[in-house]
Amino acid sequence: MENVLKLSNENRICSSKLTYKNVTEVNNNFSLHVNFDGNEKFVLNKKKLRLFPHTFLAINPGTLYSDIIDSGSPVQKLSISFGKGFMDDFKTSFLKKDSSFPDNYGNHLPSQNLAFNETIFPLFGDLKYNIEHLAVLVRSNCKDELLLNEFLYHILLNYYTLYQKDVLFVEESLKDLQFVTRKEIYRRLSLAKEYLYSNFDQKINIYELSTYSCMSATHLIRSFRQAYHTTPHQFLMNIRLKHAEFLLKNTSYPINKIVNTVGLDSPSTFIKLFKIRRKITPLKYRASHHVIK
Amino acid sequence: MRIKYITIPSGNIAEEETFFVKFLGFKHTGELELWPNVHCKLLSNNDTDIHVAIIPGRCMLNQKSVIILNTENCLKQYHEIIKNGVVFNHKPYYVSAGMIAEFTDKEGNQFILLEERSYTEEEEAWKMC
Repeated sequence: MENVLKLSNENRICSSKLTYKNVTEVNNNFSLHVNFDGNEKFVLNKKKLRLFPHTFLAINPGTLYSDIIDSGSPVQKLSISFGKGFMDDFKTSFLKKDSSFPDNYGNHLPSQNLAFNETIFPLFGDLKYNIEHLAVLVRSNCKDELLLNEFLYHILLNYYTLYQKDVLFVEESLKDLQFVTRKEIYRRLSLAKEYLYSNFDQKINIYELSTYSCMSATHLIRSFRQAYHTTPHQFLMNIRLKHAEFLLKNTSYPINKIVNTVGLDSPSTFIKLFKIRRKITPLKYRASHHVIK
Repeated sequence: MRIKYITIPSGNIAEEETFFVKFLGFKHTGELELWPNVHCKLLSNNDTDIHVAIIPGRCMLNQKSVIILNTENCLKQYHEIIKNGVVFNHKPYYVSAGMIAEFTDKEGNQFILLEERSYTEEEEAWKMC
C-alpha cells in the first residue's frame, strides 16, 4: 500500500506499508525517510545503513541510494522529498538571518550548496509530532496543498533545529579545538552514531566502530565522551533500551525475544538496566502501556 | 477543539494561588508556558482535566479575556480557522507546553489554540542518543 502526494511545488510525500521494495536512484531533492515500524535497508554511495522504528534518515540531493525492504511483516514509513524551490525559499526566509549556521558564515545569499548531514537521527519532539500529524493527513488523502506545505515547512524547520542543536552541542563541547578539526570530528562522530543506530541489534566491538568512523579506538572513545558526555557503549545501550521500550509497547514478544532482538545478552542485565532507567520492571511498563491503550 | 483552561489574570500569582489552595481547596497541578518565558500556574479541584490557569496580569494589558482552546492538531486547526477569514497575531510557534497560535477578536479578547505536547519522556529517553 502506497499513498503518494505530488504537490505543485515539487514537494512529494509518500506514506507506505510494504513488505518488498528495491529501488536504486539518484536522489533529486533533499529528502527525509522516517520509519514507524519494521526495518529497512539503505545503501548510500558505499554506506550500508538500516533504519529502525522511530529513527529517520536524511539524504542530500545528488546522492545515489538504494532503498530496500524485504520483510515478512510490513514496513511502515513516510518519505518526504522537498522541492528545490521550497528549499531555497526556506533558506532565504530562515537561514539567511542565522549567521550561526556553519555553512552560512559570511554568506547571506541563498546557499546553493548547503548540505545537511546525511545520517540517521532519532525521531522525537516537535519533529515527531509534526511528522505523525502529516502521516495521518496523507493516509486520509488530504489534497489541501496549503496545509500540507505548512506541515512541510515546520518539518524542515524542526529538522534544521535538531541538526543545528546537534552541531552546536558538539562545537561547544569541543571548543578548545580548531574550527576545521571540530568540523571533521563532528563528521566522524556522526558516522559512529549512525553505525550504532544501524547495528544496535548486532554484537558491535569498538574496533569495527572505530574503523567505520575513521578514527582509532582510543581517539573515538575520547572524542565521543568529550562531544556527547557519554561513551559509545552507553550510547549503544541507550538505543537498545529505547528500542526495547518500543517492542514492549507495540508487540507481545516475550522478554527473551526482546533481549535478543535488541542485541543484549542476558534478560537479567536488561531488567536491571530497564529498572534503573524507568523505575519499573519491563513487564509492569508493558502492562501500564496496554492499560492506557 | 474544546475549552480546557479557565484563565484568572492576577498581578500577584503566588497570592492568587494561595487563595485558591487555602480558601477554595484547589490543588496545584502544574505549570504551563503559554507565551515564551511566561508561566501560568495550573490548579484543579476535581478529577476532570479542566483547570484554572492563573496568568500574569501584564498579559492582560491589550486584551480583555484569554480563552485557551485545546486542540489535537494546532497546525490543522490554525489552517481551518484561517480559511474562515480569521487573522492570527502570529504564525504558530513552539513553547514548552507544545504548539500555540493566537488570534484576537474585535472586542480585544485573546484566543489561544494550544496543542499540548509531552516532550519529557521521549527527550529523556533519547537524551544520550
